[in-house]
Amino acid sequence: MISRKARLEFLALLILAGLGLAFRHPGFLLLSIPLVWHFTLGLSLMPRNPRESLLVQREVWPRRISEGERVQVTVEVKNIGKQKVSLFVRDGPYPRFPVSEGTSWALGTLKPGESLTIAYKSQPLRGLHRLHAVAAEVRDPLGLALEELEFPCLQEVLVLPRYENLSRLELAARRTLPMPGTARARRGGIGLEFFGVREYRPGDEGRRLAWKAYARRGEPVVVEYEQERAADVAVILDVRARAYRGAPPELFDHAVRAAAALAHYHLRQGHRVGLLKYGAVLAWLFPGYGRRHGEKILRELAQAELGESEVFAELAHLPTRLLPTGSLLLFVSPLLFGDEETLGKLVARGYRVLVVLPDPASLTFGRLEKTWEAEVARQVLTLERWALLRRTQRSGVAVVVWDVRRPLAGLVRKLRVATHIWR
Amino acid sequence: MALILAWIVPLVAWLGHGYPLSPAWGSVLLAPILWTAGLVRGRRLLLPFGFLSFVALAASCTVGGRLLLGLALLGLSLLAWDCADFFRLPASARALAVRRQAFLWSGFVTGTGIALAIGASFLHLVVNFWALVGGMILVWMLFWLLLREITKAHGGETSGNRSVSEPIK
Repeated sequence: MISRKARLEFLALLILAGLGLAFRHPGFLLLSIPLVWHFTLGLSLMPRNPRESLLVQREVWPRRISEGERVQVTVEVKNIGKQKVSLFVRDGPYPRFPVSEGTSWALGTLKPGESLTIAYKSQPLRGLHRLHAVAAEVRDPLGLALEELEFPCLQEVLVLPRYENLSRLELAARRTLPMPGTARARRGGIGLEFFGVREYRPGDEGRRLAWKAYARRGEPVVVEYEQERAADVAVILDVRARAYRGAPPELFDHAVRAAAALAHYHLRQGHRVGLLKYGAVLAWLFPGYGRRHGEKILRELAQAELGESEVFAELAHLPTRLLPTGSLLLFVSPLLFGDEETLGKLVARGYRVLVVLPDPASLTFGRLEKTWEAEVARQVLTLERWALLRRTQRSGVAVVVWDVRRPLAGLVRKLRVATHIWR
Repeated sequence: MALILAWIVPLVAWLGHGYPLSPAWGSVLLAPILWTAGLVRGRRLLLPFGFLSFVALAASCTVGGRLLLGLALLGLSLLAWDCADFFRLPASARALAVRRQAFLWSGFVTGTGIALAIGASFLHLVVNFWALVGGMILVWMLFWLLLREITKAHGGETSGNRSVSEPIK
């Protein structure tokens, strides 16, 4: 492609030549000779077929990291042609993939066989980052011709959400599955917690005999423990952009981290965990167990983005068919007015519901100057939110208001029954 | 470098004319002022005007019978024009080498161009009327082609299925 510089030079050359011919003045024609020479020689210095002369390779390591970790990117451009090539190479910029060390561009002249390396480190934000083509601008030394090239080297870097390890969350599902887990099944059997005593039946283990009760009653009785079983848990992440409006953008990242922590905790406890991203589209990851399923959940959460949808603007369209009755629903959302009704209906239908509410005020007001207006705004918002939370809590939903600057583990540890708003 | 060269051009023109003190010579400062504003204030659109002003200054010297001075001014203008282009490349160790190489190329190309022009000035050619007309037509055709190229680059022509977002009436 001919550059703007070359066009202007050509225009000057034409004007001079035109004036020389029109006025039959040799001086103008002689003046146009250096311009003609500069123009033609400059263009002739441009390498032919630079795309075929260059070989670009990109290496990214590691390709799966957690938030806060760094990725090393190395791009090597090699001149495999027979001509010298002057070029400017640039990798990116990619959104949410900032360069933290080094530069993502390089400039140089490559003789045949020579190579140019760009090395930089990035601390990418959560998400699936697709590093597309490496861009190169090949130019002649005088800048009259330039060719913009793109060398596709598609690579993906997955940045998983960083999450806390929750140590205890005693809120359990109302129904359990016939598989061993940690949810109390309210049935006697094998477990750790004492459940009661009953009369001896043939086949009961001798060591479970309650000797003192046997002596008192005169008939053999055995001790029963509460069975611990797995339960269905659904982590619902609110991805409605409307719910996060006005809050700092990182609030959503905190919500994702909370969802990851809850899912990871319940998987560790042996429960069957599903993930629903509700808001933009309906993204449902079927419930499953184990570490592999945990990885699937993390991948889904890594790619979670806010979105808008007319259909899923209200929580009323939550697809309850996907969620087995009696399961534990962990809803991570800043909540909108009107959501409390739907949550109450879910409780009425037999679900156990916990809302983890990343508090937008904790982020917003922490950054504002302490003025009288800010204080009034904070109080008004707190009152509004408090009213919403009271209504939510009255319908039997457990609510955890999470100041995202503090650990979530401390809040959920003290959560037992849905009678208080924990903050 | 581009700035220094830009201020040398009017100085050389002034010295070449025997450093006259007429206030009209103040107008030759317009070109380096445009150039300086373009480079320092980051308004690169001013640079082409500066360059064309330099070419006009060189042409006016030639019309006045000072061909060598005109060629010298044109040579300096071309050097400044090249420098303004490659000195905006991002700074790095490699960029220095690229700049040095580009400067050498620019000096070589401009120098040989000037030498060619001086050599050509010793030639005595007789151009008849029809060659002149043919030359004019060729120049205007090239001008038209240039205009077409510029229009294309700015998306003057479109093709294929395109949808334009505008309010529904």
